[in-house]
Amino acid sequence: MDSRDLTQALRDATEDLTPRDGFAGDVVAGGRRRRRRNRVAMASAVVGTAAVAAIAMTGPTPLSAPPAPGASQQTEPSRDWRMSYQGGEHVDDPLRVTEIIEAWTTGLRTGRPANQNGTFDDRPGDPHVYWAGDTINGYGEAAIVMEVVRLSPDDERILTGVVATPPNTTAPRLLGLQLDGPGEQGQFVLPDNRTVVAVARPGTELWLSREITYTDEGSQRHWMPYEATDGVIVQDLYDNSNKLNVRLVAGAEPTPENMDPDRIRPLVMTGRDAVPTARGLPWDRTVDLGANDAASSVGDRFDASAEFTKALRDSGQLDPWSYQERRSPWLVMARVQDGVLMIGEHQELDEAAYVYVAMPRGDGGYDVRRAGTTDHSLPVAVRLPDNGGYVVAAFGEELTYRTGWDGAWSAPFRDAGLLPPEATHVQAGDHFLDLANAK
Amino acid sequence: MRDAEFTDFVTHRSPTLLRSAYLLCGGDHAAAEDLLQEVLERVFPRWRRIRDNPEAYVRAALVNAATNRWRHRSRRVTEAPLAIDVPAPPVAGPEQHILTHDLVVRALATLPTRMRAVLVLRFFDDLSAADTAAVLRCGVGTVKSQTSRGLARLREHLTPSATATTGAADGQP
Repeated sequence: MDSRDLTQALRDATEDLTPRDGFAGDVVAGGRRRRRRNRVAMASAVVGTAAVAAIAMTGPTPLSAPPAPGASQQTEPSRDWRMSYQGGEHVDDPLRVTEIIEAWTTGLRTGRPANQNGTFDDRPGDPHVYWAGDTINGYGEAAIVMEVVRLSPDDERILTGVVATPPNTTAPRLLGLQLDGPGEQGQFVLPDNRTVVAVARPGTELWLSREITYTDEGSQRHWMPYEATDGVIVQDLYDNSNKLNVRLVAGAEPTPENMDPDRIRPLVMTGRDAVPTARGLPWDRTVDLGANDAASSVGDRFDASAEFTKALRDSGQLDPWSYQERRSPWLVMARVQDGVLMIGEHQELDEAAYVYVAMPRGDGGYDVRRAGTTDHSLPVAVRLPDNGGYVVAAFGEELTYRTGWDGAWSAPFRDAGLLPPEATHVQAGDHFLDLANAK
Repeated sequence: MRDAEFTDFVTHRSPTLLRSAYLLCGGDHAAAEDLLQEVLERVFPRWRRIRDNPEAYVRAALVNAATNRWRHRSRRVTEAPLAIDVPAPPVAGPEQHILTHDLVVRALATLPTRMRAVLVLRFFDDLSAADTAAVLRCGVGTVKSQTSRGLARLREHLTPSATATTGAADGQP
């Protein structure tokens, strides 16, 4: 089939398709509903900004004084749009607002959850309840509070916190804090480990991805846009989501090509267990199957650990929004025709740890592929190109191989080895592997 | 005036856009209609800004939405057919023609989402490699390599003896 055949086949296959009756009317009605929601949100934001301007004109404060000649024209924190915006169904309830402010003030005074060293004690203004409303999935009420903090005489920023009632308690408490920079911040996961409350300018979108999906072609993220209609987005991560693998991004729809670390809005975890579990293999050595020959000096030795990390980073196999440079704690390296083959592991966030094989290409780069997770991939076995045999590894184990069902087992060797192409089976401790299954 | 323009656009361009959506959704008519409706509704509040070239904007939004939709679905279920080598009827006739079209759509559905999007944009929507790259926000080189690999994989699927692989389970080295 050539491209002309394909074009014709696709056109023939779709020529009878038409939208259902009333489709255009449904679309226009749905579009109008969306536009109405956006307008309400934008009107609220504009009113808030106008109020700030009025205050600045009638009651100058040290923060609202005109900037000195040559001074930065950057918006002062106290005039930031967020400091005058208010959203949420409870923000007009004076009793609730008083409780929220009290929780904020108490939290900062007692250093819970942060400020034990008094870093945020210099606060020239007043706390501002930016949003107070109900969350979804039954967590209950929550609030976002902001206040300008002076970190040094010329460094004032907005400090944003989330106030909510923790499980098994009755009073609201300050549960998490986030300081501006870079960019506007204020994203929290509540103690139920599934409710996300994130500040966003009304009418704008934040993109949320709940997890990394690993496929044969590399890692992927499914991004969902959420529009802030009330100054925040409130989203549920679902029961089976792992909060540590969530990513929130501001701006245009995230793609690997437009990945910009400054657009990632880090989430503050207010619950417990906020540390990823290390799922790698308990190995900590490098096995060199002839990658560095005896004649090479130490200075010329192949730095496999750095090279492996670089190969993974450049491969597109890893998630660009989660990538952190870390070295594999173990490596197997072997000399092959086009360079040095490397096998190691990498774990992203709180995902599984995967074994990766970096196969050198002739151009100095590597073809990288996943060879399974570390929890059920032992022993590691990689088929070399051009009938070059196999690399097998099972650290801490005694390995042996044979060249047929009737063949004798080889002399045992430890950790890893380079097997001839005629090898058919490997025994590694309690594991038995048919090399026909080697990738 | 703006609403009337938008309504006119939806009325007249929806059939064409639906066909693209149908291919992007791997031949799922209902899903394609839902996808198109969602994309058009999202476009409506932005109509004033995009009305100079709305179709290109909608097409790009459609591709992105379809890619996301399929990523989401692929997490939960594998919907690629296990075998697509439906035996041909003994005598070629009109039904053979329809069968071929069906096979092409089903073969297209087995491709990764972005590869499928590249083929749909290039060979159904007649976009150049550069325009396709702009829609997908990737390099022209990526479009070319995806096109070449996509066509090769389609050919593989459409050869009489071809069967789609079920894929090896992860974790087996």
